Amino acid sequence: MNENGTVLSLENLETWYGQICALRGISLDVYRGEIVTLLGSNGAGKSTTLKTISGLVPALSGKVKFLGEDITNSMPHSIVEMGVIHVPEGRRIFRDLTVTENLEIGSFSLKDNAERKKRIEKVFETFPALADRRRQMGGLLSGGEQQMLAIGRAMMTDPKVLLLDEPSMGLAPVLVQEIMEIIKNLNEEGTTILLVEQNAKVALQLADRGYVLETGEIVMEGDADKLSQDDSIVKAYLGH
Amino acid sequence: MFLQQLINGVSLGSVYALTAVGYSLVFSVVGLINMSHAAIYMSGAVCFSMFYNLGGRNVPLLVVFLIALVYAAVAGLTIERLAIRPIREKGDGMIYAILSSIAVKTIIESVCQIVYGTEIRAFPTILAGRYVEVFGARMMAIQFVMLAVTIVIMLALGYFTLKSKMGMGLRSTAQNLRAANLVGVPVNRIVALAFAIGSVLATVAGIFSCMYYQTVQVNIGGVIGQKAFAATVLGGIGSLTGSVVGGFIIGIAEMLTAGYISSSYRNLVAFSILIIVLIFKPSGIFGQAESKKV
Ligand SMILES: Nc1ncnc2c1ncn2[C@@H]1O[C@H](COP(=O)(O)OP(=O)(O)OP(=O)(O)O)[C@@H](O)[C@H]1O
Ligand SMILES: [Mg+2]
Repeated sequence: MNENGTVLSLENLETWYGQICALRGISLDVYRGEIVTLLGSNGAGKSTTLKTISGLVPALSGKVKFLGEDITNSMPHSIVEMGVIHVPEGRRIFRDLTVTENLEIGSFSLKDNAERKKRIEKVFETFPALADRRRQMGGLLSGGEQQMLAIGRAMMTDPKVLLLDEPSMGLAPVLVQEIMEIIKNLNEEGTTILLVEQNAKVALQLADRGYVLETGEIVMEGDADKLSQDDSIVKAYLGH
Repeated sequence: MFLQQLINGVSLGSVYALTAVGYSLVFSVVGLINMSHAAIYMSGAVCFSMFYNLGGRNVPLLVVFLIALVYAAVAGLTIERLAIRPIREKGDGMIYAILSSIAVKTIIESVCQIVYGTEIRAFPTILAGRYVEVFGARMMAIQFVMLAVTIVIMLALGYFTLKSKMGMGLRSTAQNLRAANLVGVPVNRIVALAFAIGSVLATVAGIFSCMYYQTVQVNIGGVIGQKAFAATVLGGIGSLTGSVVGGFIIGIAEMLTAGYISSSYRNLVAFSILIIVLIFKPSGIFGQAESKKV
């Protein structure tokens, strides 16, 4: 891939929580149409990377560029409007909004109501389980349904890049496969994806390329099939 | 007498309810107890009176009413933008925002004292000497209008929060401001809206209340502010329904006390109710326990 195809790029990004340095100047690129996975153990800084991209935590230095434009430290909702959508860890859906409202709120800046309806129907097509519960409060959904709702809400914005934080967390294996299938479909329909996962096996199956993060630094990067054969990765993240 | 006091209680309650909603709205979105709110209640009425006097006391009241509402909305937006947002965005904690809102309250009161003076002045009223018959009791027409306006406003506000897109944004921001911002809700605009709506409602309450008493003075915010805040907590701070119900409960309790015991006990009763609620159900009648809120 060439430079023109770069959708998202991080340049020496550094993020601190008070006295704690969570990202020590990381750089990575995501090209159009790719699924890139970001691996790493607990506390490595994976979530922090996504949060810095989406404007939830400020970067101390370095740059976040989206389609060549500097979006470092913009307001989260403006970043959403540009098409960079973060689905946070632990599926933060709105418990006291209905399923439909949870989806509607994902397209807040959209003026076209007909288009909004169309997108809602598309989400319900993708996730029939949600369609049956459209008037139910979000908080009453099961864990898997909440994850579907969180992804469905992201789809409402017609995202250019999806930042997914551990979508498989806490799900039964069957559901993990289902969610991964959906991520693959979204990608095939043209959405570029940056996928954070603890479940490296699943992530590397899906991804084109991967980066490995360790205590705030990128220690390895490469094609997914190469990474899944790398000894240290196999030892650290793939079991056996 | 019971019916008469009930009527007085309900109309007083509508003033509390309108004011309480502003406390609740702002608290629900940013977790701030807005100490400047009662100053808006007062300054809205003062603004009404000032423009009425400036116009030679023969401007249509509706015109000055609209001017006062515009003042209130602009004041609410300005307070949010200049005194609250910078502190909130720095993430320094709400205690500093509360202090800032106390400063704002003092500034508004001082400006009103300087511009308007501290003496009690006559306030224009409507439907003077007219009464409405309610189940054999007499209700002053202004009380009736006040109650009707309150009900219409509450229904409109309920419809707005439940059915409109901004209302949905408001509810999502109240549940979790950061999460709402993350999914694309322009939370700064939502918070500003909450301040504006709250200020407008407080001004409506202030103006009707002054029309009822036919006087205005720059210190009217103090007691009303405390009672409306008590009503907010009683109903469950953050809950709009709760604020309205709390407002009516306090208003009615006060007036029944005044009627059956003595007027000097009315504040005692109002605040005793508050303490009892705080002891037995601190989250208020309609409030949710903290853990459920997010
Ligand atoms: N709000 C916060 N305040 C202070 N430190 C934080 C905060 N959030 C994260 N950290 C710290 O920053 C580092 C990176 O955390 P981060 O959540 O990005 O890790 P992660 O790779 O997503 O881990 P996990 O796999 O457990 O989700 C950790 O050391 C963590 O303790
Ligand atoms: Mg994480």
